[in-house]
Amino acid sequence: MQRFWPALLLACCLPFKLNAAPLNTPLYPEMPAPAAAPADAPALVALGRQLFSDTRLSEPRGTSCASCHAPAQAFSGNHGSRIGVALGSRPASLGTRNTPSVLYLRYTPPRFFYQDDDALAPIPFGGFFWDGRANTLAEQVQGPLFNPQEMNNRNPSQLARKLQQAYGLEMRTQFGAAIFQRPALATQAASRALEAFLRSDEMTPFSSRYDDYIRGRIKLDVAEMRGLRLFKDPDKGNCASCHKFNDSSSNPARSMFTDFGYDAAAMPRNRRIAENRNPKYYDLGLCKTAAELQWPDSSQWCGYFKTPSLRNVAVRESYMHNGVFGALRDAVAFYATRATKPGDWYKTGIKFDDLPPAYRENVNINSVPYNRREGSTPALSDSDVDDLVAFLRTLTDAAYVKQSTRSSNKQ
Amino acid sequence: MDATKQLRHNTVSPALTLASALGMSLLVAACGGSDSNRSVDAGVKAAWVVVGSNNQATVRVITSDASCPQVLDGADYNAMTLRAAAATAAQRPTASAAADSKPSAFPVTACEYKVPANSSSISVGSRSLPLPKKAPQRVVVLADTGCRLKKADNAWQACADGDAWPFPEIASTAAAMQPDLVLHIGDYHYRENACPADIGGCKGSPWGYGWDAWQADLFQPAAPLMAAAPWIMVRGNHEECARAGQGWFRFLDTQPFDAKRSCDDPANDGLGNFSDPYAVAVGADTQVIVFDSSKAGRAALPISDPQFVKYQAQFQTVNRLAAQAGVNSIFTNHHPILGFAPLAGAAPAPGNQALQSVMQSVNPTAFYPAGVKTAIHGHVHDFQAINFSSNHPATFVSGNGGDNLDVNFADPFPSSISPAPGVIVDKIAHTSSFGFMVMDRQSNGTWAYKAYTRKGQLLTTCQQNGNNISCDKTGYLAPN
Repeated sequence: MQRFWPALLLACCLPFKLNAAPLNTPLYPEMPAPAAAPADAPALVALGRQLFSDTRLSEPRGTSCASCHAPAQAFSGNHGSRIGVALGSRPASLGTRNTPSVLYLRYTPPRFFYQDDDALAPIPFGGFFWDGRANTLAEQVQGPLFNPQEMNNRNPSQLARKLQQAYGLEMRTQFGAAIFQRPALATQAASRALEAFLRSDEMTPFSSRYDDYIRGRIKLDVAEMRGLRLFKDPDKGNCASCHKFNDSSSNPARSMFTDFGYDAAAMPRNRRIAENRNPKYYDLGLCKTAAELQWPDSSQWCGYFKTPSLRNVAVRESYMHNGVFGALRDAVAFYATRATKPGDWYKTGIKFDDLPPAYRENVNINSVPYNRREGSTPALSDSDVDDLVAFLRTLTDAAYVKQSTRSSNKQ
Repeated sequence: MDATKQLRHNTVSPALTLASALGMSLLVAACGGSDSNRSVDAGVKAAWVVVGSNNQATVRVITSDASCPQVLDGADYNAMTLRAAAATAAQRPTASAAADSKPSAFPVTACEYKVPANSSSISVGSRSLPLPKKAPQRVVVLADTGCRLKKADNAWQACADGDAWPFPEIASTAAAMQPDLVLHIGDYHYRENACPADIGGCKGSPWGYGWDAWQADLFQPAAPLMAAAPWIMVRGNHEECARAGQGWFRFLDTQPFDAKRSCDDPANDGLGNFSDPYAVAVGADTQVIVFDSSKAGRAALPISDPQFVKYQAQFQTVNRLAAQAGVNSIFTNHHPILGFAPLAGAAPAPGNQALQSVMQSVNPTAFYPAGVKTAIHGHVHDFQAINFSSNHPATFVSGNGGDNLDVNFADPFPSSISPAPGVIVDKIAHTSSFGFMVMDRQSNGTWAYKAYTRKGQLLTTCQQNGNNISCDKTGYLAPN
């Protein structure tokens, strides 16, 4: 049988309960190989870079993609918000999810299902956002531009006017003289430019100490190596069952530290999020996307969120889809003792308190290290957690090492 | 007496001519001695004893020589029979795309020798091979041991890394426990596709279904365990015809080699994917009933399905085999029948629906005949020991022998979950840590089933009482 999920495959994701191929989402015969470098024109990448940092494109003006995806923080951050989720273009306009890094998105595939021949059912992979609601990168970049809690453009016409004012000549040169005659086309063109920038080489630096290590240029120190082994060990951290990597390959694209799948890891409720003051409000994650895509039994995916890449994880401002943790060590420690000491994490005394009771059975209580009984010895000791954090710091690209050091001071 | 024995028993004249002396040296070389052993050893790639139907022990040897070596049986040298000559089978449809498949090359000779029941010792070259014992006291049980190289899964287990692929360590640990018998419950071969050149952990590994991949996945790492005890070999789904079935029939299957059941020609897969069950005695009071479920599939079978008809006849044979008064029958096949498959974030999946659908037609509600007291499987990459409060045989899964692991079951195990209709779980002990199982005979004739980690750490001991077991631990068996 099996699997890297694990049973196979394998370890982090709930299998599809029906054996039919879901609608609107392909069932792949095999997992995709790492994406090759795209052949985007340098001028298109340059336009995308400009658009990414242009604060004139929000409503009201003042917020760009880079405001939340801050280049100095490995293209993550929360635009000055201190509650774990991002501030939008309007004052006090706060989102409900933590801002993920947009580095390395070249390697994220569109949504697909895959079923190993030993597996009992297909499971979903790919897609963008924490809930996979965007199928492609070009689709993804349009999300924040029109989200009222983010850049807040009312419609393509409003955005097209801003693009025409700021980039009229350049966009006509690249996309044709008629590009602004239809606002939807202008928006698509901007999305295409942003996509080109986000999947460019500069957004896939592979310049971390880990990358140097797998290329044979440096050695990791003792604690980092212990952490690496714990990360892989299926009896200890078991992190690699979802945050997939291959340290025996000098090709860093084989070490994206994600399988692009989804998991229901049951983060504690972030009570600083305004919506969460409503006890009936829950962010259900993938199941909303599943329902829109008419996947059978979509509710089985409630509580599932995308497994993020851990590259540059040490420079994040906050952790998990709801930004509940402000320190990397807490995020790692949560996995270590969620099952054995849940009271340390669920302050209300209710386990899995960020999910409605009906969906708590979706939570992954199977994978090491969160498969143990309450009160039992955790799979990871405190020093193991420290070693894992030491290893995770090796995933910081060279440009962000200083930021990583600053982040470590707060932990 | 064969010609070799006659030669060996010739007396030698004291008046040797140079020519006769030369002839004598050749004779000695042919019949034994260190030079001869070195010559045989140089060619032998693997040698073991497998036990099949009618308790027939057979020596199997794989050699790079074109001819088979002789076996020293007691004091007599006997010829081995050619089982399969070196050959390359034409590329056939496989479980992988044609571009990721290749012809199966077997540049080795497979030889066999049926061991007489009264044989006292067997050796090939300098290798002394273990013979079946009349009353085995210790049986090592393992399954799912190969190193996964599978393009479709993008799964490239680091076969060169003992931490990532622990079967060599497991084989050595288990061999050191000095078993009297080894029971491998299938899925020996996982190296199906070529390792990408940029992955060091498996770079250069043999792949495909030919000899080199079999050697790397089974014969080389299992050598200590093959030297330690005779084996009972059960067929897994990785040995069905579209996968490693060609090697299965050349090397492991206990029936005579038959071109129509070689898996070389996909037109004959309907024959090659099914084998009649048989029983192997483990002492006077226990027998293992071996069942080939390699092509079982997942879904329940309609009664009109030819596969249903074949399996139904085979399960009727199982009933006959198990109908021995006073004999504790252990049923073994690859796919768990009254076991579970773990699913993250969901209730465990029940046992194999295809086999259950057929078994219910033979033994309604009971699934097994009364003589079957325990069942042992692989396929799911974990360890399970399940006792039932309903009248069903205790079930073990020992599929954590080396390939990538499955997730664990929830702890505590969800209540009211059943592996099959009418089957009620009493207790379950489980872990998805790498390891193997050992059966130790008890003074009262029953068996103690023990779960070990890859390093030989005992996780739990389950004592058998009829078709029940009582384990000293329940729930998740933490390896650390």
